Amino acid sequence: MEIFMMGKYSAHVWSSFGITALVLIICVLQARHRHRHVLSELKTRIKAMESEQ
Amino acid sequence: MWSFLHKMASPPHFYGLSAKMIPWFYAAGLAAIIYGTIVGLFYAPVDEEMSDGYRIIYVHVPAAYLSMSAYIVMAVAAGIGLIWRMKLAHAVAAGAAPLGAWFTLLALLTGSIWGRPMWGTWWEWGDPRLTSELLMLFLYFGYMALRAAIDDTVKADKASAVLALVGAVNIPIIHFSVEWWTSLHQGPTLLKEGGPGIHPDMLYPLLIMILGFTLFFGALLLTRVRTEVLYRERRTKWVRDLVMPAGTPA
Amino acid sequence: MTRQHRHLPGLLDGFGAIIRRDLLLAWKRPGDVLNPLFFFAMVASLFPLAVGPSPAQLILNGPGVVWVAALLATLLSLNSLFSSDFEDGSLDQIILSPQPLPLLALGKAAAHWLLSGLPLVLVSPLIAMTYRMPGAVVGVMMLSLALGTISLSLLGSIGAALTVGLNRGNALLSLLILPLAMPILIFGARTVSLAAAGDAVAAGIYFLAAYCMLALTLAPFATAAALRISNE
Repeated sequence: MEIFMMGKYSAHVWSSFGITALVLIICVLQARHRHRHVLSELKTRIKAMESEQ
Repeated sequence: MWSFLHKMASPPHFYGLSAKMIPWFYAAGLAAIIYGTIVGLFYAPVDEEMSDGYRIIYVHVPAAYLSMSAYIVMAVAAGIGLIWRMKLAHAVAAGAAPLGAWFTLLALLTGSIWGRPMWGTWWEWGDPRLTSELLMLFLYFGYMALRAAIDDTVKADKASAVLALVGAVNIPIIHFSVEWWTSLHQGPTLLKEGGPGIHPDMLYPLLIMILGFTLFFGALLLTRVRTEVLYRERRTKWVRDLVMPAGTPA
Repeated sequence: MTRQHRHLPGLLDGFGAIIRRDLLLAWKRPGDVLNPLFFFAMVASLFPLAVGPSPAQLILNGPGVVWVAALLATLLSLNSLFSSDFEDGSLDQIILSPQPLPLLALGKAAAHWLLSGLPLVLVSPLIAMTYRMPGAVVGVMMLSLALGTISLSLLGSIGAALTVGLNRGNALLSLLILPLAMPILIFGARTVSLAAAGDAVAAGIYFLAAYCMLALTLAPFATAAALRISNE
């Protein structure tokens, strides 16, 4: 248990690592979401174009 | 090798190849980050001044390093796109910007958390490194805002490229700020004359974390560039075939 | 028979022509010059109103307030650097002219400084007086403002060129220029504070001068590139 206490700095160290993990996860989700969004948008647009022909 | 690079510059090739590369970058990056975290948090020795509190270095320094590297990637890509008119280069610049902004924000936040116990303050307005890192965050915002404000993609690419290059002057300022001016922030630890000034047992996990972050950044960048390429090439046949393979029911 | 003095326009003719034109236009619309000056004065008076007029605080805040107000007033005046040229089509003419575009861009920045930076420098002692700035410090302040506003006109012209013709380009312009302007603000205000404390100001002045030189040599090219890009 003591090893997790980080001296008296546990709040600082763990919150830093926590924020880092959060930011990295957000980056991944954001990148993937955007990719899926563009894909679906293109699908809709191509469908619309082809149904006009 | 030139033919490989030449092929990579072609959007459909890049799109296909990057799809295969991304999972490896994520895996390698994640492995390095997890390993570096464990070693850094639990096995690296205790610091004389800050006992265990210094361990924030294992996320702060990689974040700061990547925040600057991302800007360099962005500026170089923008320059290549501007001079040689490579579409893919512009896509790389566009993809790097939001990532660079996130890492800059992370560097500022973790730095602030570290600064509180070490210097007694969450923020120090007079400090050159803190100020120039904050300045870099504003540069990223300006870049993204300019891109968003211009509708035409080609114009947006060129205009933001000029901006990225003008702002690149900030990078050496950030790095050298702690040498040129008195600062709360400690001087350079890794890239200075005489070699790294940090204990090797502390240095080892730090290098691993930097590597891990870089690989992770690479995966993120490739993902974003793929998305950019997909959008920019939306009117071409290869994208049409990719999104709606022939024979798909309408 | 009269001897006609004809010569092909040289480099400096274009430069001079641009400056003359902008000065003439400003003469006809004095508001363009006066508004930022009034803004400068008003911003400088906001601080004592908000923070309280105690002399100690005034003396302490004076350098910073003057500098922030000068920066904001300059940003205000930069918004219209290319906008009127853009609207009446003369910007296209400027870009297409056979004169080197960086030189013309330099001319525009020079005219801008004469119409905004220089007046600020000349009016600043009045503001400084209200902040109880001693005479010797006022001299340092004016020098720092002169160097700083020249840099701002040059760097601002890059931002103005990038945002000309965009809707809501004004806020964007400020966002783009602020990171470049921050070092100027920091060193300018700090140098004046040092002067007020009796410390050496050479280092700060040198920095401002160096920044100014850098802007002078590089900004016109960036502005020219940005103008061509924005007006394709």
